[in-house]
Amino acid sequence: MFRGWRFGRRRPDEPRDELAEIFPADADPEGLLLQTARRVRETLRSAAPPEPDPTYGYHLRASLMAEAQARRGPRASRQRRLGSLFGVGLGLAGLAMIGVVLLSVLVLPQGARRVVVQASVQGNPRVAVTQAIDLSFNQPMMESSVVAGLKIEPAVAYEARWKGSQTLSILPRHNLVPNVAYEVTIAKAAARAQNGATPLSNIVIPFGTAPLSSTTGGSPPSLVAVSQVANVQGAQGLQYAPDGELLVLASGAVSGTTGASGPGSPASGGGAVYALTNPETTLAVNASGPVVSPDSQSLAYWSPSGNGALTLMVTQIGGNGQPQVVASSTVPEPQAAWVTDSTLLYPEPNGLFKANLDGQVTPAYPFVKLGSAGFFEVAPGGAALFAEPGGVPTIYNLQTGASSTVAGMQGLPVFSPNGSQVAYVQSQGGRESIVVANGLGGQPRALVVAAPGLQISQLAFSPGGQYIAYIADTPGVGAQLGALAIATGTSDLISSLTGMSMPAWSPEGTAISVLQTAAAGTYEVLTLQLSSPPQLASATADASGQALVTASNVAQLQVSGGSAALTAIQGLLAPGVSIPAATLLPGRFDRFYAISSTPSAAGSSSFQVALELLRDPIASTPAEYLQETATVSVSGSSGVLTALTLGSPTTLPQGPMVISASSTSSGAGSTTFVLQFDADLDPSTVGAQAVELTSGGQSVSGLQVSYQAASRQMVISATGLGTGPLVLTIGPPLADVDHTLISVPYQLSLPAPPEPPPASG
Amino acid sequence: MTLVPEDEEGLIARAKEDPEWFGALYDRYFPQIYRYVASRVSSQELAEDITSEVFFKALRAIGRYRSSGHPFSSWLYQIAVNAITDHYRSRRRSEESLDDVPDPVDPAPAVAEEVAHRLGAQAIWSHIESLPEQQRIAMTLKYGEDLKLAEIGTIMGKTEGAVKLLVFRGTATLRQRLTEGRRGTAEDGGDV
Repeated sequence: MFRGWRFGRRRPDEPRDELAEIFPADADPEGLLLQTARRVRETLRSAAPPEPDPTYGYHLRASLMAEAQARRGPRASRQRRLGSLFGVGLGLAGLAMIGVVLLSVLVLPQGARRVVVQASVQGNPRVAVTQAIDLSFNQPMMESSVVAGLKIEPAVAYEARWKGSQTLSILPRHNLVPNVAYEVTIAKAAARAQNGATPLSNIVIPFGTAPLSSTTGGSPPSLVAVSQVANVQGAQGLQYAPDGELLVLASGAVSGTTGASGPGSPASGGGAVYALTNPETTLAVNASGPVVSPDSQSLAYWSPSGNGALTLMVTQIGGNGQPQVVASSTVPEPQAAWVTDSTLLYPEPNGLFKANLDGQVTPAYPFVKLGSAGFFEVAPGGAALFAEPGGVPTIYNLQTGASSTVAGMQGLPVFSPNGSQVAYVQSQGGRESIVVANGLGGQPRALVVAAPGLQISQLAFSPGGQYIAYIADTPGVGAQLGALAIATGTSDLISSLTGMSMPAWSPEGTAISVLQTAAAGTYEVLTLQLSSPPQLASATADASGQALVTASNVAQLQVSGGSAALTAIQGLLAPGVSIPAATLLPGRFDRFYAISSTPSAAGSSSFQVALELLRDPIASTPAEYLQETATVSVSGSSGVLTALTLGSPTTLPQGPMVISASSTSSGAGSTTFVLQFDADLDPSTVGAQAVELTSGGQSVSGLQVSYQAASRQMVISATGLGTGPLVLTIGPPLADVDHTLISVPYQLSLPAPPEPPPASG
Repeated sequence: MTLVPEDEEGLIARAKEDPEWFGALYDRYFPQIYRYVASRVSSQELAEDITSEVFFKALRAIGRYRSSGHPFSSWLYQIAVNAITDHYRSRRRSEESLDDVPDPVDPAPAVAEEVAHRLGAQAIWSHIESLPEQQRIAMTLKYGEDLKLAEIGTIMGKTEGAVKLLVFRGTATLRQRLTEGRRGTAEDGGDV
């Protein structure tokens, strides 16, 4: 029976052997070609076929769908209708259009054959979470194609705005997540220039966001209450003395809410300095440029003298003595700055001088060149100084004499309270941004980019240096008070009140006082009480939080690497516990997530802390992560590591990931879980269908699931729970805004609560 | 958009009315077309370029697609074949035409099979690439994609008989070159 097959006959159900038909016996009498053909087919089919890059496939699909949508739009509908009337003509037009497209692909102008892009965030691991992502292409691009092929991972909902056809600004709808490695990709096929050119490969732009500092708030403080402090005519300035006294400089009368009033200043070209205590106290008259000494004991100010110059006066705050003259200057509107409690810096037309309270004057910092107005701003601590020689904003290092110019500065800079940072407003392309740089003039980073037309001014560092208050003047709205959290770049208006100016932080940072325009030349002094800024888990005092802090310290040291870090980790181990240094993989990761801290058993002082160490992606290597579990024993306010279990580095999975989780129980059978995701979720996938909760192995129904898009937090509330251990699982169909399903389900296990004591009696 | 499993004809009809449904066809055929293109060109970058071109052309022309009774993939292969041909034509514009290569003679018995078996797929592909254009297309679709002769005919705009002849002649040339390669290796002292 096999003979018949061998000679090319087929059974009815056997697939047709076309090779045998191609090489019939009469043309291939020895069957050699047929044998060759079969060998070739076998060899080629057994070879592993080249698999497409999934990223490329995804982006090509996105590009196709973008074009499909464009073709489906009103214009396409109109074409279809016209096509029925003028079918032939439209067909020719369509062919001509395709011909133009193909021609443009084949005939590229020399010098622009490849698309090259520069990104504002490229490779920066500490990008502010508010920062827009600007992409600058080297040639005009096919805008819809580029946007269609654009992807951000973890997924981010964003608005894409073109500035011309070569610059694309990606504006995330919500702030980026702190401490996350992001990657912007544009498929090569989608990154197509108007002349058909493409880049050499997919465009990949990795960057990371700055982590939240353990000592700073991630969000600006919010308003709790507003109180009116005084009414002031001709207000020119407002500031707190270090001891908390609120001072106002005004050319007119001051009346407090108690009805007490100041005398008003008879002098021209300046005003009186009032302390807005109750009753108001006049500290100085005929004054301008007042500054309080660091110890709050002295007030320095400029006062006109008879010869047309200005004299620098110092008066004791709260004292009864006469003001003393310490120096004079012919600069029209001089400033003065306290260098120490007894030394002032001030300008003369030929440079800076120091004056002490005894009236001794000496030249200072001869390398500093002042502008014609003599303006300068010295950093607290005296490390740096800002001036504008020749109108060029310049920062001088007062220790070395080195200077650096500042490009694009709008208005005047302010130094942070410890002098380590300088902030200023920068204007670029019609938009203003708040920029922070090293106090000695290092690389600036834009923290807030304002909407077009919005003007930012009057920056003021909070006493702790973690926030900047500012005035945001929106056309048609007015000047409002905003605040910016420097660690995260998160910014928000503190109050909807308008007409605001001169923000001044209270020394403890719990209030901001401002002037509000009441009528022409009349102001109200308002004090805005602020909420305590949100604190991180590291600040929580409970045992679970302490375990999280201890484990986070270990993870941070793993990320830092180096022998010092390893030694420090050894110091966090419980007595008798030893972990080989190599096991800790020091220095192999760029960041970490401390995800959750759960007790090992109900009522236990031992906690399991889930951690993830992450390695940021680089151009050719995807992001990796490693899961580890730290077992921390907490005693009092300190924790020690008793065990550390590490997984293996794995490519970061696709789809949204939980990066922190917490739970709170009411004790009455209800528990609320809060999960923080690294990606913007598709709200339609958030719900009970993506959540499973079991209590003692039994599925819990009636879960309340909500999602807060701005914070990317999912909140799950369960009631009527039993006494068994809880296991929460998050899985598909949960997906991010790019419709990528969660690929690694997240699970959080909580031990059973302790048994209630038996009822007595 | 939620994709509902649907037969190919239904998807094509929907895609003609609403180009967004083209995505379902793309999902179905992208890996296949990409693999074919990638097996025919020298780099991933070029494979991606040409595959993109194939699907953009298909999307733009889906309204004019008429079923020939063969799978929709035949049409995509047809576009891919043309795109690859265009690519090589533009590259070889100044080179000598390979259509002038003489037909094979003197098949050496029992040697080519052995060589074909021992050579890797890459080496065989390189020999196929050197065939005249029409033979090369027919060979790649037959051996690489295992398409039916009639389908290849549709793709190439030829009769089934013409395709048979192309594959026959291409295989004979391939066998000759494999044999020559084996002899050259033996003369150089190589292990056959």
